[in-house]
Amino acid sequence: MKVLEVQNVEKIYGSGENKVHALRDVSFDVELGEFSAIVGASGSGKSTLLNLIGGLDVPTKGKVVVRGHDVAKLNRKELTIFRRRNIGFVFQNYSLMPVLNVYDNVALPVTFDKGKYVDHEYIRDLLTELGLWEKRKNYPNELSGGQQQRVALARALANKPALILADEPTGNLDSHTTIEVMGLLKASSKKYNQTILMVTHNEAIAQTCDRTIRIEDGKLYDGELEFYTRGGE
Amino acid sequence: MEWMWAENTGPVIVVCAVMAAVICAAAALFFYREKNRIYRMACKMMDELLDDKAVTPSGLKEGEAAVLSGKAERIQEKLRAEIGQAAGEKEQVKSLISNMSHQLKTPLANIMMYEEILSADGKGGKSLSEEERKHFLDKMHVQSEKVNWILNSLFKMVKLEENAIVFEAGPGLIRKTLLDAVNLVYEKAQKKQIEIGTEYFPDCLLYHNPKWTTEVFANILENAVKYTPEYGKITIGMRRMEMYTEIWIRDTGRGIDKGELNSIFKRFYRSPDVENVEGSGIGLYLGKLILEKEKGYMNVASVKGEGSCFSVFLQNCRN
Repeated sequence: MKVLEVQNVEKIYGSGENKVHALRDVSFDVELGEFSAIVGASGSGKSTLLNLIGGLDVPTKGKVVVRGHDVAKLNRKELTIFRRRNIGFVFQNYSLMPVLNVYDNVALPVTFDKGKYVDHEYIRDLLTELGLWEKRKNYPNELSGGQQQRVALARALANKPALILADEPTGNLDSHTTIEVMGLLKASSKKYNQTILMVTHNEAIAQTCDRTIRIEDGKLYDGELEFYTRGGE
Repeated sequence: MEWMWAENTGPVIVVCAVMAAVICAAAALFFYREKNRIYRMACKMMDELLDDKAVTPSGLKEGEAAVLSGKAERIQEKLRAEIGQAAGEKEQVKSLISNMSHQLKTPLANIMMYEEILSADGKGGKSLSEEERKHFLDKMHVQSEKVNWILNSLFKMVKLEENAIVFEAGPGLIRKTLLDAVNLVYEKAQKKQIEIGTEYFPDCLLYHNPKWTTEVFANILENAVKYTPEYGKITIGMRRMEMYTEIWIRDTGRGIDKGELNSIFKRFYRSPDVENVEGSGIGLYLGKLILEKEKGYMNVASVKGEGSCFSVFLQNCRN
């Protein structure tokens, strides 16, 4: 079952002399429950790709299909609802609401959705899983970077989205906290059967993922190493 | 003023009552219709789910109906995904069986050969000396052990993948678990004169299952012993973090090629470099499965020719 299909996507910024070819003929699929990493140097087009998938931008050519919806064909209103229900974002700089406490930050995307009731049990479960239950009444500025990123992760999971897009989720964290956030990302993706697409330039982090997609100068190299098992001794 | 009140109350009350009744009736009718509408819509949605058709209305609108249809779509996807998964698993089982029969073939052929030699003993005038007989028996024993080992790990793997083993993980002291694993490989390490030592290693409560986690450590250690040349060194250490504790096992072995780091945790993966070394490509995969069930994980850092460092991450116990 494919959650995401990217078909021959091309993205060009600017025009004339300032034309920048950010992505060239990129195609890949992501299966349900897969934890994939997009690896590449800075400026290789990783974030552009993530923005296209998240419906924050439209491709110049080609198609991005998330759960059967062609993202480019949705109108503004539909796109907003689409993002809210189908996509969870985790950013490098956490992007938490400073005036809301941990619990309210996590419940925020659910309360946005009219007609959806807030499943307190689920949020409690999430916060406990991510080691934040004791901190639920704290405000973001009272938390460490790793804790803030964990809140952002809980928020992305709160709406049970089809796809979680993480843009350098550990970019601002030291190696200690990186390990923790990655471990929790992996554990929660397994527990809640979430599909995660993570952008990173750190190869060591990509190791923990099910699959690595390599991107260089806007071109894609699927890093899945084919191997054949051999019999005998 | 008061008499006017008294005089007019009768008709006013009647009018009010009538109006209230009308409003109530209208509201009742409205809610009845609304209930019917929602019922019909939900019913239609269920039918669409059952017939495996696209769910209407679209899940990309505001409102309760859209939320419901959004959920219905998710259910549909989940069903389809499970069907797809089942097909995928079938393929995997096929490849697993073919691979395993290959793995089993060689030791079994050897056993049969030794058995033949031994049973031919004394017939046709040629007889084996006591020493030779013992030699063949020993060889046979080694091969049977191997078959046993392959079958055991296969069994564990299949059970784990089927989710048939629901082992209980809970708070436990890690030192004993690790020590059990070290004991399992100690003899082999001694034979190769490999020193196993620990750095700072306080005992602490980690979320794990002792029996299965021993398996994980033992697999890593066994690899370390296997791929480390004689007089090498294996070091074990620990690092405490806020939510996880890292237990690292570093060896001075042959190391792993950078391009292969992502593959070594895959089932049946064997590096082309070690094709001639005994192994089935199950150990690390099994370890990964076990750790996933304990909400932990593992990774590896390695320099080719200098050694590898496997790190196991287990969750600290929170009270």
